Amino acid sequence: MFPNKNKLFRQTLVSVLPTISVSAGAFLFGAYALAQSYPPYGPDVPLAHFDHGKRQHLTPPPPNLMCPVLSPTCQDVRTAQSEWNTELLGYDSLDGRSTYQPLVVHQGNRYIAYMAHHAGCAINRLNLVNEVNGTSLVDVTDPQHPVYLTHIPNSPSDGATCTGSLDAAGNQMVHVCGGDMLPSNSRAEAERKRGHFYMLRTNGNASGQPGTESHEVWDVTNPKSPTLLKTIDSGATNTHKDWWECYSGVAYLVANDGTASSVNPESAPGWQQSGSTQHLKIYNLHDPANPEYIRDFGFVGQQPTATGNAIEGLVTPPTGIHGPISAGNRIYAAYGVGANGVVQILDRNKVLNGCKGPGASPNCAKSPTQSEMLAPQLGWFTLPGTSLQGGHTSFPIYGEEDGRPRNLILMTSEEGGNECTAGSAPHGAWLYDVTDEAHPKYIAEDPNDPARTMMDVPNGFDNKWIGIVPGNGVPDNHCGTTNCSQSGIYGATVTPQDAPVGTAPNNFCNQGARFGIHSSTELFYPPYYGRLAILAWFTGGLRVFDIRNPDQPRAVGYFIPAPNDNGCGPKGGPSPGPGCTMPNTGRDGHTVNAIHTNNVEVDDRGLIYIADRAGTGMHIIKLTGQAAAAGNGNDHDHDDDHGHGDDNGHGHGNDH
Amino acid sequence: MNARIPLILAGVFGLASLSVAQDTEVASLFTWICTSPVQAQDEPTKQALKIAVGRDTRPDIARLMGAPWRTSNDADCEAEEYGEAWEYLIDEGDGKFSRIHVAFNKDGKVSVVAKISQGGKPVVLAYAAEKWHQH
Repeated sequence: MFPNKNKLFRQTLVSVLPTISVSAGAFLFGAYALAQSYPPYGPDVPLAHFDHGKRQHLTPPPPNLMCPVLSPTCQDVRTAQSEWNTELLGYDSLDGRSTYQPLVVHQGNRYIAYMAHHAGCAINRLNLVNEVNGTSLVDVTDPQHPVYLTHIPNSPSDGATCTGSLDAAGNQMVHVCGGDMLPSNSRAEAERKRGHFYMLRTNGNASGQPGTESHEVWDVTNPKSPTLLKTIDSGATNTHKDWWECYSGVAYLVANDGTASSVNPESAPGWQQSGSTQHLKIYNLHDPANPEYIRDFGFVGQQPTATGNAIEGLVTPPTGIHGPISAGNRIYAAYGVGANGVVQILDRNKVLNGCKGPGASPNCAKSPTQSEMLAPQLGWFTLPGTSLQGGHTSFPIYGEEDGRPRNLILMTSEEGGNECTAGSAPHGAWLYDVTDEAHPKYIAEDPNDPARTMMDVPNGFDNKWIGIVPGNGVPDNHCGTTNCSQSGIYGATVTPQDAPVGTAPNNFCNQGARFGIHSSTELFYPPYYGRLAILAWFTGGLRVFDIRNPDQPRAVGYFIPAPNDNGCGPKGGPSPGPGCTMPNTGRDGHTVNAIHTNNVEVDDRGLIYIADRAGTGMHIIKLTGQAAAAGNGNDHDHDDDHGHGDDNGHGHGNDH
Repeated sequence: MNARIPLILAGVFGLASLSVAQDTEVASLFTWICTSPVQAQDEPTKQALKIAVGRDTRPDIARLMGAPWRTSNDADCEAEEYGEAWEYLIDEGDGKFSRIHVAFNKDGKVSVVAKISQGGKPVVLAYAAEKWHQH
């Protein structure tokens, strides 16, 4: 291997190899342990470093098109696979199932992707059985060669069938905790959980029929052969995006109880919401086989005893919660999904212990008083455009700038209409400065357009907005800016269809499905935490923004998957089927089988996973170029930060 | 072959007219198109052309077309918000497949019927135009 003249080098190398191996092992273990210490797995909150860098704003290149120019012989309006500072590493078709949430867990010495599906049915490649959609488990240890391990179908208790109603089907949300991380009340409990991994998932979505929906905990220690451990919250309806603190066991389940249910002693009927009818049902699942109910909670005005006009929020009753995220002693709760958005900052300890004190009302846990609803609340705010935008994801970013604390929330709404519905808002993503929690402030507004934020994706492929007119939301003074009512809406002629052939401009609003924001990543992993906003933009694909200077965010990357035209086989091949991307229909019957990026998540290796709502599958993506440089903080030659851009992800002790 | 196209078109529009006539309450909401003639060479496509858009429900489609190859309901919080879709697989031989796509509206009635060739663009056989939902 080495020439003789390099004998000394060889001897030196051999002598230090054990040291290198041990060091590498220690480093890798250290990285693993470090990654596991962040929410939701651990309690340590990373500390981001924000700066005033005046970095070059980049113009995203236009995506690749199936037909560069529409013509009588080329009428495919869809985007082809398009990469900007990203690279596709791996792919799995997920058997063509519509997928909501991806979650990748470092499980022992493997990485397991838990892909949570919307309602539906498809053929399981492993047993060739047509199964109601549930959760797909994929080994992504080698991201270039994912191995499909199993599909856990939707549990039949909610009555879903492949030829009957699917309204109650689907297992859209998933969290996983390790038994070694979850706390234990006894040595016996710790021994029982040692080495085990547990998956919490929603079961059923919105049948509106109490008794048919629930949450479930599965033992996924052997991810190829999971076993159902416990059904929780049976009798629920409208389950949605949960959060599970692995270090404490506390699980914030999103659901509702329509009426009193005899099957669930924790049923808390009578909660009131506008829009999506769901609130928080909080349990401690430190011992997943023995759930401990804590309380129900939501936005003031949603409690069962509330009467009259809501004292906070935009509507009566206030809009339902989409999902919470907890970090340190805070809970960030987003309400409204895609309209009438409100965000709430809560003192976690007061939420969890508010009904335990001697002064708590007798039925505080299930039906708190107004004062008990308000007691944990530290701040709240509405979103720009008020009624036009909703609270979907509220991801906290704790940081410092110039030696002083600066804390942010990365917020998203959810686009709801296909093909940029005329009169609806282009749903957006925002950054809020919540350093003063009682007075949140909207930052990163586009100075040229108060209706827009700088984290945006133009709908034209030439990076120009088309068809946007000023919004006129209702008066409101809680959105952290002077232009609460301003939010652009799509004008009546925004959606040029692909007829007449050859004359219509092609754009993201012409793909049959939704174009706009849906969600952000929710895990706190370095190195991207506090440096990048990583977002799922439906037909716009994966979008990455550099937020190291949060007052001047800039686009640095995107990835738009190719539609699956081949089939639902393990590698997207033809076994079986002629292509798996499900069409969506926009205006005037315009039906397109285009991609529909629904959710995005990162793992502790810095890989990005996106899930497709239209059944296109799972894509594993690596950042490259300027996106990787921004995410790793190693491009400080291009800013005025004087080399201080690489210190995030290792700070602890945030006092929130 | 070309001689069959007018017959198929007539069938589509005839069925559409029938369904509208039988459901006058919603007739004003529906318009009908047939974007391109589809040759009914296979049984699933023939059956698909019998679907009464705006009237047929899931049980009707199950009776007409059998069990679907794949289904999806990607509603998030409100299952009735976006409806669902069923797909049928057509084996055209020589390793080629196509799909019949049947979408339902929030009332559980068929809103779109399309045929998708392998790697191709969906051809809408019929659709029911609805007022757009917003939230």
